[in-house]
Amino acid sequence: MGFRFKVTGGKDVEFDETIITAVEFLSDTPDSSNARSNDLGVVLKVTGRINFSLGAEVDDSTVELANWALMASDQADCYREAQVQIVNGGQIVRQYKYPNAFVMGYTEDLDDGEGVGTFVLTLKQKKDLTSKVELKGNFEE
Amino acid sequence: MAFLFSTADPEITLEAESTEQISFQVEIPQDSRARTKDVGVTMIIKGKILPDTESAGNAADSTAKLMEWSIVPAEKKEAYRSVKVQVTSGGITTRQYELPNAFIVDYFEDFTDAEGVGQFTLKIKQMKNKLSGVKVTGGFQ
Repeated sequence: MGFRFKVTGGKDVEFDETIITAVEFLSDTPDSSNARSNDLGVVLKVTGRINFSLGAEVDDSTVELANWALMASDQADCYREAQVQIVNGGQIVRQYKYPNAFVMGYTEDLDDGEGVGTFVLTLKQKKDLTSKVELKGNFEE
Repeated sequence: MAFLFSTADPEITLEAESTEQISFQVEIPQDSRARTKDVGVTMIIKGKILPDTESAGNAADSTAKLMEWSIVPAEKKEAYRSVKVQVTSGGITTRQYELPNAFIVDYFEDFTDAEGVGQFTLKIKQMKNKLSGVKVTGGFQ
């Protein structure tokens, strides 16, 4: 199973199967509601490795994720388009596309024992534009 | 033991291979001094998201339909569906849960590269003012 993650709308970055290790999708409404709530948020959590490139041959695109997370809310490109594909045996099992995603959480963990770093990026679609989210499943690559 | 999850109007039938765990919870406030009317029913369904490697492009399971249901806005009729869960064991239906006006509270999809398949968690609730519609039956052929 492989994951591909793409962010466009600022400095475009792409991550392939060698970097992303886990993906989580969550469609979240308040747990205490008596009936279906309009307060619907869609969250995407992407976990991956920070593979420090030997001799700095390849640009480390994860730096751009950190910059995105630090961006002030008055800048236009703090909202970007994020797309995740989950691929297995020639099939796109899932494709999540958030056209107006903003960063809700970003952590980087670096550990000498592992040799590479880990990042966890949590994204949310701008809540008034939740209906713009495109979710697809099970189509050919 | 097998679980058969289905909804009516619009229809979703999950394959028995994908469902793994069912939890049925009656939620009653813990601080009440006498029997309360504030009773809620929640069901949690967990299972696998299976890919189909033989014919990429064909869905191996119906979990993508759950994902689509999870972002239906509250003002649409399809946000509420009639849910039936049958538990079969040794040729008999040991339990049958019916929630005629169920809505999604939370829906998760988790994918990690180590597992090979995804996992979904669906949390649904019966509309609180229609609690009397909930039926739990069991022990029939």
